Amino acid sequence: MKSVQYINLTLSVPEEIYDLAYGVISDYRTRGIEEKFDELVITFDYDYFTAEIEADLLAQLRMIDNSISIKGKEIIEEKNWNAEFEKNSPVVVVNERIGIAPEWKLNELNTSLKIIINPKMSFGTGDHATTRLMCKLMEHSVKPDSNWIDAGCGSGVLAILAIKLGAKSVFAFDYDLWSVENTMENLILNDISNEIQVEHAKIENIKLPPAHGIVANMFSNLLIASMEKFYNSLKDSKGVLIISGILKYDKTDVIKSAESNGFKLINEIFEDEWVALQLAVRC
Amino acid sequence: MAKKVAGVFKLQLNAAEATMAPPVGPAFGQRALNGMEFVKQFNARTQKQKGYIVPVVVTFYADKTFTFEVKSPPAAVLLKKATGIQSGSAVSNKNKVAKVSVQQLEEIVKAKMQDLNCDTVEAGVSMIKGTARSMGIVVE
Repeated sequence: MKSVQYINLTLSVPEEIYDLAYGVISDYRTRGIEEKFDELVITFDYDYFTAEIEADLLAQLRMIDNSISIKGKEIIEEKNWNAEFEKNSPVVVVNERIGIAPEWKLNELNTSLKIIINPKMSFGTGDHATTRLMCKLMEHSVKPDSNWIDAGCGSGVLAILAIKLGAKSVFAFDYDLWSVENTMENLILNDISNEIQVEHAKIENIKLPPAHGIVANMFSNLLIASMEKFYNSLKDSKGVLIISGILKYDKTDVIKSAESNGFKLINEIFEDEWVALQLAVRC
Repeated sequence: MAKKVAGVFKLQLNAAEATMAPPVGPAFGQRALNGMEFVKQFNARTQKQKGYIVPVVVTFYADKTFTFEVKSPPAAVLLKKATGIQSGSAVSNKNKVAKVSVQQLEEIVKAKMQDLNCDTVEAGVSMIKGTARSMGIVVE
């Protein structure tokens, strides 16, 4: 994994002018800000945060209040921030047939179809409602010897499930390097190698191959923007599209976009405030 | 019985673009909270505010669960978007850098109403006027 670094810049800022300070800081490319008492900790990408950026930011902030000063600067190395939580990663029973567990808890899983996911700062341990919803819709959609695409594969859980349900191949990709690495590790744990091809790519830039099915657990805006691309991949096989990462309040917008791009809604299932949709290419 | 609150922290994040990179990863990781869960929920909830930095208040509990509340973007950020200015005035009482209409202020107040400590749009406009003045923006 490529080493990634960040800079945390700690500024002394009176709390009563935080709002004005955000007006200034929002002009710079930040990862985010943590508010503390009379102190703002701003995170920048290491490569972006030059001496010029630092001087310019400080000068702009001092136009609001001349007392604003730098309290500290710290280089932060990328690591698995979720490690503490992941130690207690749960065993997830999706339904009577499908279960997901980390390697060290596999013996607690009693389902007939077991997916091993060792978590590593990637989405898809089964702990989240959308992963479970996707698994449920996939269970009766994946046909033997079919070819699938897992868009935004995270831990690789859905790609692995597709193969375990009988698919011949899966093309999986994610924009996040942690996810690509974690998917590859999880493939080995599940004794899968040649059937799944994993790539580091953004959906905006990738050409999807023809497929019988696509799974995409992403976000509403990204799903809507990708609908035409999904259709082009599935049109020849009259394939199936299974999507989630959709809050129930956004469901109508996503369905509208799908229908205007040649899909019809087959099924929708809910858990908490999340929804997963099963769509098919309209004949 | 209500869950026992273990603490609260506040972040400002780019709407719909949170990742596990700092500040999210360390803020959740040091408290052994599931940061991935937060990223998924935060990005889904803030899809319509993409392009803005938004405050988020995270409350975490003794059982290592958490809830969070996304607030409206800071008034200064909304004023800059509304007026198209790059930065506020260095001497706001003398040099004026932009103009904003009362109608524009009302739109900002409507976007921020749930977070403002006031009951009416008029009262909200008075509050946002104060921020505008501090930035050297004239209200017409």
